[in-house]
Amino acid sequence: MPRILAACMMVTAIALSAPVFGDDLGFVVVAHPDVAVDQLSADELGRIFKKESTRWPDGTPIVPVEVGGTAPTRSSFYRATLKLVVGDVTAYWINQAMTTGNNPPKIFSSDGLVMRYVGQTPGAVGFVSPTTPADPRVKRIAVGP
Amino acid sequence: MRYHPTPARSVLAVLVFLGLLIPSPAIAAASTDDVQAEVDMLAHDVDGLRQQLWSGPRINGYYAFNYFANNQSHNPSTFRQQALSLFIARTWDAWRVFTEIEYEDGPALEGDSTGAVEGHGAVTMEVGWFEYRASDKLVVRGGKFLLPEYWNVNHYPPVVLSTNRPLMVRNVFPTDSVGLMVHGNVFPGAVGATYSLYYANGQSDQATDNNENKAVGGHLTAHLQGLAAVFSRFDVGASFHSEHGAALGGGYDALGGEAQINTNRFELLFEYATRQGNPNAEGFYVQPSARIFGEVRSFYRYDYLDDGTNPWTRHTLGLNWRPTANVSLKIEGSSNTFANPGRESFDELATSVALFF
Repeated sequence: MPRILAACMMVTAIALSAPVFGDDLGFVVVAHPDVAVDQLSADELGRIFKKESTRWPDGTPIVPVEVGGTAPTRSSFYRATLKLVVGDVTAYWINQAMTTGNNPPKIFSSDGLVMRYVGQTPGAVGFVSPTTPADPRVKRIAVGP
Repeated sequence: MRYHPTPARSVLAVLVFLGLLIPSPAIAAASTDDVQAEVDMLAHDVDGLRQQLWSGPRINGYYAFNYFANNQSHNPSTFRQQALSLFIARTWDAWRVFTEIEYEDGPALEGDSTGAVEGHGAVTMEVGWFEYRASDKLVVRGGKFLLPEYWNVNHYPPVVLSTNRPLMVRNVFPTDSVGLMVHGNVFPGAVGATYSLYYANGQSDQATDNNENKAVGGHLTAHLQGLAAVFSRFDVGASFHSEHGAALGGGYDALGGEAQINTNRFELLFEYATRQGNPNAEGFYVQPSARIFGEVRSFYRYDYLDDGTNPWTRHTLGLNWRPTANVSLKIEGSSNTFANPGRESFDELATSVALFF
């Protein structure tokens, strides 16, 4: 019995520590293929999309982009990374416009445009719906704990 | 009846068989994808052209309009056109310039043939600075900036819940100064910190910038929300400000502490500040709030300020509704009492509309 319990705990620990590609989270994170990062934590993604982290480890400027409006992907992303609803994120950017002059991430009207922009722009990172067809011009970033 | 294969029947059978093999739905799907890809490409091109045509500064602003009614004998109810502010920002790589120009209390400017201008209200440059971002850990800012206490920075009507600001704000720490600041953030793991340090002009006896006294100050905030999944924000901070110039008659030191905690639909804001010197002052506020439904929030705030003359206590209960992200409608009632009879205690109703654009 103790062995079974230990095995269960080990499996649980491995499952919790393993990177997730985002499908279960309701979004997939994609980046320009030259971005030398394969995994980001939810906290790191949150800081990138709040523009608190502005450079990749190699010094390349980070260019976060997203699909605008009320897309379910957007809601899932901000709940998972910042624990905020989309309305609070909008309020955050209104405050930023008045206190720092910082702009929100560039917004596109479709996942396809996000994929295209990310594939063409060094340093770009975005999130799209898990149902978006894979595109060889971008790399997927795993979302860690 | 017997089946007799004929050449015509055989050809027909082969055609039917081939027809079944042709994946016509896939063709339709591929065509839709092609059209979508073409639309995406055209939209991308249009967006790029738009950026080329307009690459100027980013301009935002807000307008705030207030109404106050209270039971003081000498202060009737009043409308107030509080402010129309414009924010102008431009970023080039690691450089940014930012300014806020505020038209406060409805200025009426009139010129005459001599070129003199008379006016009411005020047109002021609230802030105006440039910034160089060497890294996220080190950003250098120069110019006129707000000092980094929480409400002092995050005070704009479209985002704060109340019409009146806390009593302690602007009465213990100075509001702004002209000088140099370094700031940045560090996140080694799940928790991190934001800091700022400044060396700037101090305040004269009239609390105006006089370029003679120099002040040093700073702010440190620990971001602890990574310690527990329940928090979307758990910030704890501390501030200091010190200036000792001849114009101040000895100068003063100010210290402060603060916390901002958010979890699900609840928020708690707290700030405390004390100043030792010319003159002594102490104040704090605590403001719990909750999103009760949709974008309607209720809040309560307890305020205390002792500025060395007459300690002031205020209880405020209010509602804030954002029908859209850019519009904030507010109503609040407050009860104000003073420790000494030299000033009349009063109750007040305050309402306001604030629009961000």
